[in-house]
Amino acid sequence: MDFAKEFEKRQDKTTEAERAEQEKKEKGPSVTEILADDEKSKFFLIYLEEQEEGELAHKLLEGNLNAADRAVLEEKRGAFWERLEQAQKIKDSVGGDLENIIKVSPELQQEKKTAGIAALKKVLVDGSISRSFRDPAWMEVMSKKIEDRELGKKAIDLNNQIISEYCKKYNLKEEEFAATLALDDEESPEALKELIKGKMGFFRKIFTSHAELEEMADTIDRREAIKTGLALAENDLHELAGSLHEALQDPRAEQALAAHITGENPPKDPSFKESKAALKSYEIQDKEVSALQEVWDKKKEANKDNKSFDIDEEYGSFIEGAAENSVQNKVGKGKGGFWHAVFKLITGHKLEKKIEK
Amino acid sequence: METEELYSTLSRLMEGDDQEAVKKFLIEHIKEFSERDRENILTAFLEDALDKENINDKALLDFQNKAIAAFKRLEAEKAALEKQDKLLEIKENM
Repeated sequence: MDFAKEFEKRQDKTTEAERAEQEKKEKGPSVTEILADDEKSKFFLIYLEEQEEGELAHKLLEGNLNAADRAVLEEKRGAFWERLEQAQKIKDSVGGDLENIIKVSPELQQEKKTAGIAALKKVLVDGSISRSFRDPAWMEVMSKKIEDRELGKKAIDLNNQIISEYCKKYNLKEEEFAATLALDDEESPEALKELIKGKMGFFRKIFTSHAELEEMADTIDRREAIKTGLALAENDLHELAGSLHEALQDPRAEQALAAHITGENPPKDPSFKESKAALKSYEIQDKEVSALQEVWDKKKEANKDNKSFDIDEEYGSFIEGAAENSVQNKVGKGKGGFWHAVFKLITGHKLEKKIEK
Repeated sequence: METEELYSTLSRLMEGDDQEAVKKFLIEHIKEFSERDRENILTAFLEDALDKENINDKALLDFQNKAIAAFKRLEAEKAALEKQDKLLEIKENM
């Protein structure tokens, strides 16, 4: 082994890691710039509290920082900025397509009718950054869902382009075909029905092509093998048409479509069973209550002269955090989703009854 | 509904097997929850919507992939026929 080269390589790696760390530190605005912005400074304080730098946050509020405090703040700034960027991505992504997301949920549609889109936007879009800071586990889960969503949409767009090329090549009505594939379009089930039940659109054309090709195949040597291939291709298309046709008979067309295509029943969210079982076996222990009460009392005491300490707001966040911990202890870290949120809701209420504000 | 009754009904529904009943109850009684819980419920429905959307997108992708595979198979068969045609033509001309 060439030790000199190996040493050089290791040195390079360290330099690379250091460079990445340096870049991370240099990213985003300075501490002074963060503090000059009301919203960012609010999130920075929440972040410091979460990082167990409550005392530093307190000093920051009082404008009583020494050189060592400033060094710690600078160290926390880079990671804070990364968190803010991640939270901003969730906000932009949900905000950019809220109407389409709502279309998928009967419950959100109902709430849109009752409270209006502005009220929903306030909670789901505007509130997403503050939620990301209050509940980092939620942010991680949401980031993953948003990433999956974007990848899925990109793949669908790409496939649409490929199908469109094929349609052009075979002189099929690609617009009609593409329109029927856009399942988020309210009119698409109707369009699909028209396409399949009616004149059969591109399916019929494909079948016609098959008939022509079959006729040609009769005249040549490998006709049997080719005919089998054609039959398989035709069968694929028949199956597709069948799946869609059956799916369209079901009022819950999209779910049924998923079921027909994957060959399974629409999957039930496994977290329902998990949350249900966790709720059943969850009992708040006296020990847990007294420990939480002690933490809360200390926090209250530390902030008794802090005018910006909103006790109702802080108590709510405290209970929410404690409920989140209970969920994580019961069902595991990094778990999210609807049913875990319901578990958290019920647990939060139980804790609220036991921990004195 | 009083707060206590709200939560006891919700807990009771969670003990059953009807997921849709829990969702229906939450949205129908959403105004009776505290503001914070209301926000938590709506955010949970947002996550639920994203999950559903991802399932639907996956189904749509599967469908598209099958359609593309069918087109590809068709193309291959067409190419095979064309090749055979040419061979026949050559044979006839020999």
